[in-house]
Amino acid sequence: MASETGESIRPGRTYIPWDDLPVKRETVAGVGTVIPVVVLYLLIAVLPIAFAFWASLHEIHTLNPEWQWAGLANYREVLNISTFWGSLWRGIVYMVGSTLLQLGVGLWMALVLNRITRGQKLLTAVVFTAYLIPTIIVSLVAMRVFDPASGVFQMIGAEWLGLWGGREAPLGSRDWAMQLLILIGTWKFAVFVTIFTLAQLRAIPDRFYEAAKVCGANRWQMFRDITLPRLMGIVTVVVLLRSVFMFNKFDIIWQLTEGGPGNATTTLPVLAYKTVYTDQAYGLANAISVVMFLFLLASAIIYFQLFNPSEEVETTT
Amino acid sequence: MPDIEIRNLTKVYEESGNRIVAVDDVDLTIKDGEFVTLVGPSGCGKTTTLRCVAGLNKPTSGTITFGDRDVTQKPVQERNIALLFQDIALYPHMSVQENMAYGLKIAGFSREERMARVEEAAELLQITDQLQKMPADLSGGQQQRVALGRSLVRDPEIFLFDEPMSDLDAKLKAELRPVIEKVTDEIGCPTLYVTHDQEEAMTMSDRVAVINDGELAQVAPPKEVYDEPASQFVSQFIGQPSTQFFEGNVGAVNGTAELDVGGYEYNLARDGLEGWAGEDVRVGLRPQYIRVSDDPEAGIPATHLLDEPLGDATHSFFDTEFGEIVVVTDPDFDGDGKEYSLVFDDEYIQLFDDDSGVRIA
Amino acid sequence: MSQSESPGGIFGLSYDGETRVFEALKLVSTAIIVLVGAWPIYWITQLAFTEYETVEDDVVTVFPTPDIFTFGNFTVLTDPEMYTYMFNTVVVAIGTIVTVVLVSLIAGYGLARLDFPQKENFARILLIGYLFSPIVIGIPLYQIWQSIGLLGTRFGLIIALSAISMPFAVWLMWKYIMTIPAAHEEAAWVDGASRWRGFRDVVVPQCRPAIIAAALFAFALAWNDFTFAQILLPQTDTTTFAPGILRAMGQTQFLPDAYLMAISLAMTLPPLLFAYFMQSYLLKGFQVRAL
Repeated sequence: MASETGESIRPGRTYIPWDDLPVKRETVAGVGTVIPVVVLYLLIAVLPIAFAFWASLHEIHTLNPEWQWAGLANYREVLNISTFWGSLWRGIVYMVGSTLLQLGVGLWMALVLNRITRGQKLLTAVVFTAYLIPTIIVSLVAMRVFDPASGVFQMIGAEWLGLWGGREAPLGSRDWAMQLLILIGTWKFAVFVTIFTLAQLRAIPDRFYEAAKVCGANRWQMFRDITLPRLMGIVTVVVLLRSVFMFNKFDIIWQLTEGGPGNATTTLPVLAYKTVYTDQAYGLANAISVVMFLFLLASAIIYFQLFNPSEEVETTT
Repeated sequence: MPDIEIRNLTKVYEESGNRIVAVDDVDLTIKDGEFVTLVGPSGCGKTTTLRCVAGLNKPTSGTITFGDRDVTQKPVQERNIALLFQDIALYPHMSVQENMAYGLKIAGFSREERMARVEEAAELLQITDQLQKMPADLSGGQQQRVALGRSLVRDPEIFLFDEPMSDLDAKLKAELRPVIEKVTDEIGCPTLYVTHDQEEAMTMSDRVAVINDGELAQVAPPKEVYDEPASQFVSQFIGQPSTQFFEGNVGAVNGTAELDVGGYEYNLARDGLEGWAGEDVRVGLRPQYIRVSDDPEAGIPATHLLDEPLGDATHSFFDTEFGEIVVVTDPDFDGDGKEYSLVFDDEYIQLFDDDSGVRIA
Repeated sequence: MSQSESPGGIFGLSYDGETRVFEALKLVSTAIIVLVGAWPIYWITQLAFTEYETVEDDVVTVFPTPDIFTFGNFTVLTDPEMYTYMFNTVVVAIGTIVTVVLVSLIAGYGLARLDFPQKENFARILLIGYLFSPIVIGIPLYQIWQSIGLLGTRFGLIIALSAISMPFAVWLMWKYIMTIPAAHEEAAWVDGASRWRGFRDVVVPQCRPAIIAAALFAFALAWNDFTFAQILLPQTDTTTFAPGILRAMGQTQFLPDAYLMAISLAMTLPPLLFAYFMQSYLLKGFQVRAL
C-alpha cells in the first residue's frame, strides 16, 4: 500500500569496522553502560577506603595536615584503647537490638497494612513518611517529648510509670539512653522492613490462599505455609541490610545523645567521629574506619555463606 | 519485491563448553509473494532460523540475501522487515494508533502521512474503532490485528511470523488465519511463517518447510507434504491424527513387491523396491486408510481400547502387537472392548528405511 | 481428614470464630499503627500552629485552641539562614535523584540486555557498596574533597550521596528491566529504531515504577542525610537542613521549639505527599527483589 521503498527507513550511521576490531560492539556498549557506576564507586568508595588505609598508617592531627609515618601504631592503639572494645560491644548491642525490633515491628506493620480494607492508602502513606522524613526531625521531636522540662513522654514516664525521676532527662540517663535510641530508631527505620515485605506480600497471588482454603487450612497454617516461605528470601536480605545500616548508624545517635552520657551510647561510628573532631586524631580515626569496614566485610561474607541472600534474590523473583 | 534466499544457514550456540547446533545447513528460497511455513516441533531450530533472517541473531555461517542485497551482516534495523512476535509485543505504554505509527515515526514520515496510513491499515483490519485504546484493553485477537497493522503500514521487504497464534484459542485462530492471508496478499512480499501447529502450516501456505533437529526434512506444497512425505518424521508430524507405524518385511520383488506386516501379505505396485527384498522396513499408514474388521482373522489382531467420537468421525484406539494404534472409524462405531483385526488399504501404504527414516516407496 | 493438625481454625476455633479473632486483632493493630505512626506528625503539626511563647512555657498542649493558634511560626521559613538550608537540601535532593536515576537506568539496561565479560562479578562487587557507611567514607573523603576543591560544594555532596545509592538503584533497575519482555525492544528494532531509540521509546517508559522507586530511595537518602552533609559541608552558612538546624540550635540565636516544628512540618510535607501519591509505583518497583 505504501509506495516508498525501504530506503527511508534505514537509519544513518557512521561506519565503524566492528568486524575488524578485537572487541565486539556489544562488549564495548555493555562496559560503557556501567562506567559511570564504576567511576562513582572508584571516587566515593575505593579511593576513600584506600586513602583511609594510607592515612591510618600515619600520625595526623586533624587541623594540621602534616603526615607522620606511624606504621601500624594506630592499629595497636585502636585495639588497646578500652573505648574501642566498649564501642564495638555497644555497637553490636545497638545493631542486634535495633534489627530484631525493626524486623518484628516492620513485618507486623506490613501484614496489617496488607490486610486492612479501609484507609489503606492513607495509612500506608503515613507509615512510609516515617522513613522519608529527615532523621533530624525525628530527633527534634524526640528531644522535645523527652525534655525534662516540658516533654510529654518524660512526664508520662515519670509520673504514670515511674520509670525515671521528675526532673531527670531520660536521654541523658545511663539506664535509658540506649533503649530509647533503639526505640526511636525503630519508629523510623522499621518502615524499611515494611516497604520491602509489603511489596512481596502484594505479589503473592490470591489463588494460593484460595487453594489452601479449599484444603481446609486455617489462617495460621496459611501464614506458615504460604506467606512465610514467600517472605523468607526478602527477610534474609532485609536483615542483612538493616544490620549493616544500624551498625553504621551515626546521625540519630549523634543528634540525640552525641554518644553520651559518658560513653553510654558511643558506637564505633560515633567513636570515629569523636576521634576526628574532639581528639583531633585523624590518623587514628581512619584506623577505626578501616577496622569497622573489615569487621563488616567479614560479617557480610559469613552471612552470605550462611544464607546466600543473593541467590534468593536471583532465583525467586 | 525481491526473493529471499537462505543459503547454508548454520547457527551454533556455545554454552558452557557445549556446542549446540540449532540450525544445520538450511537452504531455503522464498519467492516474491510466496507464503512459506517453517514447521516443526519445539526446539527444532525454526525460531532461530527466523531470527537469523530477521537479523536478531547472527548466523554462525551461511548467507541471507534479499534480492541482490546480502543482508547477512546487516543489523535488523537496516533489513526493512516486518515481524510478528509470539507474545505480540505491542508497546504497552502507547495507544493502538501510536503502536502502528511508531515505525513510520522513526522513518521520519509527517504526522498526516502517518495518520493516513494507520487509518487505511485499520480499515483493512477492521480495528478503526480501537485506535485510541491501549493494548491492555484489547482481546488477544484484536492485539494480533494491531500487530499485523503495525507491519502493514510499513511496506516491508519480507514478512516474518514467529508463532503469532500459539497463545490464541482454536476459534480465534480460525478467525485470524484469513486476516493474515489478506494482509500478506495486500503487502505482496515474501512471507516466512514459523509455527509448531501443522494445521496452520497446511491451511495457509504455498509451500511448507518441515524442519527437525535443525535440518530441513522436506520443502513442498502442503498437499505434497501430506501425500508424499519424504521421511517418517514428516509423515508423523503432518496430519491429525498422525500416521500409524508398523514393522514390516519386504519379500520377493518382481514387478510388484510383497510386503509382510504381522504375518499378513500385501502386494504393492511400487517402483524403487528393487534391492529391498528380504529387508525390514517401517510401514506407515494414515489412520483413515486402516479398516476395522469384525473378523479377528482378517488382519492384524487388535483389542479395542476406547473410542473418541468427534461427530463426523470417531477415533478408535486399539492395542496391537505394534503398540497402540489409532484408526479413524465411522461416526457411530462402538468398539465395546472386543477383539477385531486391522486391514490396510495397500494403495496408501508408505514405506520407510528402518534406520534413517527416509522414504523408500 | 488426613492432616495431623486438628481440623478447623487455630486453637480449635471454628473458621468463623477464627475470622472474628483475626478481625479483632487487625483492628487493634491498625489502631496502634495509626496512633504510633501518625502521632509524631500530629505533634509536630499542633506545636507548629501554637504561639511560641505558650510552647516555651513548658505547658503541654494538645491542640492549638483559637487563643494560642497562629501562623506566625512559619515566618522562620523566610529567615535567610533557614531558607538557605532548605534550598540547599532541595538542590542536593534533586541533583541526587537525577544522577541516580540516569546512571542506574543506563547501567541496569547494560546488565540486563548486553553481554559483556565479568558481568556477574560486577554485580557482586556492586553489593559490597552496601557496606560503605557515610562515616567510614566521609572521614577520608573530607581530605580528598578538600584537596580537589569539592569540599563545601553541593556537587561534592550530590556525587557522594549518588554513589551510596548505587547498589540499590542499579540492582533494582537491572532486575526490573529483566522483567520487560525482550520482544518489545526487538519490535522497535524491526520498526527501524536504533538501540538507543528503542531504549528511550520502549524501555524507559515501561520502567516508570522502577524509576520512581529508585528516585524515592535517592530522595529519602538525600533528604535524610546528616552525616555526609555534616562532614562535607562544614561551613555553617552553606550546609543543608539537618546539620544546619542542629548547629543553629547549639548557637545562642533565637530559635524556639515552635519555630523548629514549623520548619519540620514544612520538611515533612513533601515526603508525605510522595508517599501518598507514589506508593503503588514504589511497591511495584520493589516487587522485583531488589537487594
